Amino acid sequence: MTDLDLIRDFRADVPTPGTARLAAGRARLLTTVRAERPLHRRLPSRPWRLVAMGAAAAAAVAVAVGFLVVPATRPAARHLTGASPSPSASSASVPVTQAEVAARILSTAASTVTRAPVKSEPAPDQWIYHKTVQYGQPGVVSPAGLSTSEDWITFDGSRTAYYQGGQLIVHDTVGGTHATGLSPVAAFNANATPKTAYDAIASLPAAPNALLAAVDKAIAQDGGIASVAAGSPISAVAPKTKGEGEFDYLILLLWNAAGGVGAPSAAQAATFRAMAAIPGVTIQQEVTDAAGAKAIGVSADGGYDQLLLDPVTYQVTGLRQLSTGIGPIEQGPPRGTLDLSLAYATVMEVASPGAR
Amino acid sequence: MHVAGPHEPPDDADLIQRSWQDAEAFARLYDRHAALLHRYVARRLGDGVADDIVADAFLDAFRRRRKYDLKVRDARPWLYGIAANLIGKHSRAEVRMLRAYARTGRDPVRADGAVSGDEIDSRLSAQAVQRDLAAAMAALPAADRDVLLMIAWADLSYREVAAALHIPVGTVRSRLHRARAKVRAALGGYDPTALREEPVQ
Repeated sequence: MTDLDLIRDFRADVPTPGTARLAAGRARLLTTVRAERPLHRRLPSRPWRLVAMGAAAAAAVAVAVGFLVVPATRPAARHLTGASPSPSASSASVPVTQAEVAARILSTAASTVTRAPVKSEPAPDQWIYHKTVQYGQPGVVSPAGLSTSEDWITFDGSRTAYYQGGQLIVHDTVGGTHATGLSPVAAFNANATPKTAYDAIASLPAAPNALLAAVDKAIAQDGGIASVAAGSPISAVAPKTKGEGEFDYLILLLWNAAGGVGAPSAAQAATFRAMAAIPGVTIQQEVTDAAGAKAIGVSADGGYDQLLLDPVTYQVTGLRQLSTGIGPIEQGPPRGTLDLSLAYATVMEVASPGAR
Repeated sequence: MHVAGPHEPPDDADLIQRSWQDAEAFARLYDRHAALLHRYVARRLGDGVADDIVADAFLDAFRRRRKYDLKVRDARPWLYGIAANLIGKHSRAEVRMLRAYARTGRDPVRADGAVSGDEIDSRLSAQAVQRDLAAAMAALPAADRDVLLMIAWADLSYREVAAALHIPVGTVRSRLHRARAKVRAALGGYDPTALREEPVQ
């Protein structure tokens, strides 16, 4: 027996705890996980997709799933009419590029949200009720694959609430306190809440190029567009494009703001105009969101990650992700099939947690 | 380079990466590692403190998950390193308990305070050895104790301990050497031929 053996034996009778003992810690972890869930963007960065697919494969998938898609690498190379993106249709009447369709719709979206009634910024402790419908949540086995969840959050994200077994559980959110002295964008990077999203969007410049430059800076502050360790299997495949990174960041801002009272009208309009300036942005019309509502899908990666807008009000209603069929972690479902879809069925200011 | 096949269960780095988009995947990391981490902390500080430290460590890890280096497929060094920071805040309590054990023969870390002599290898006079060992461990600098116990109790390699504590491997070696020398000195009264150097890696 060596000295190390003696040390190994020291207090060796301390038991390994069972699940009951570990349950409280697990519940605390899940509370934090769930507090983040409705707020943070669920759609992942998928930096491997462009290189792995190639432009031709992207176009083939686009046809297969009925997309209006042009590969991001050749945004103006492909013409199409209406909803028929096959090459043979390109000779028909007035050719319209994807970029032109996207620019037109995003311009309409910008002017429409500018005319929307102005919602004043709520008090930090204002409770907000969310009813969220999600398709593709792990563990959900309902026939339609849909799950509905309800949660409450204060505008500043410092408290969250949900029902568990019929009991309302209210938490002070871990990490919910705001560091002082941060810029609005840095505050959002540190802690995504309806308020930090609202403030960050409001702080961005109005001109598209200036706005995108500010977004580039925000992304750099947040660790760069691909938060993937250098040398990892993913980073070896391909980095995301700058445009995709910008678009993802704007989605992140808009989705988090939509969990509150949205963004200030003029600022939201500016984000739409900036999106139109991102190369390779495409629109898919006639999408149905997870809550069953009609929507318009906006995407910067050929339609795989989409921000969903209401086709009338152009307010943010959901997010959607289609499978690229490949992934470093596990084999995904076939390309183009719906992977994940998330929509706010209800977002409403309420007097107290638990109120609907 | 790691590439998981379709039937291969996800390793820790897979789970952490998955949690970037599906935060609940992080709970599987808890299910995988919380029990042994808890036991490790409980051996140092008692199970009540371990409850808090393990929960805090996983919350801390969850918040830092996007910074995780996916090249490191096993998350234990990362988790034990985070826990080490939290354990460090209880360093005086740890020393106090070790000294109390050395002085009284009753171990505050164990729920009933019992001496576990019956369960200890009886080749040496167990209780006396345990008390001397407790005294020796109490006398170690906290940094040396971290290295010694990560190797002896958490079964981490030198390299993993270095990663966990953000110190060079050479420092791990020298701290371990120093800690073991002190422990051997403290146990000098017991069958010296039984106490020998043992390579751990």
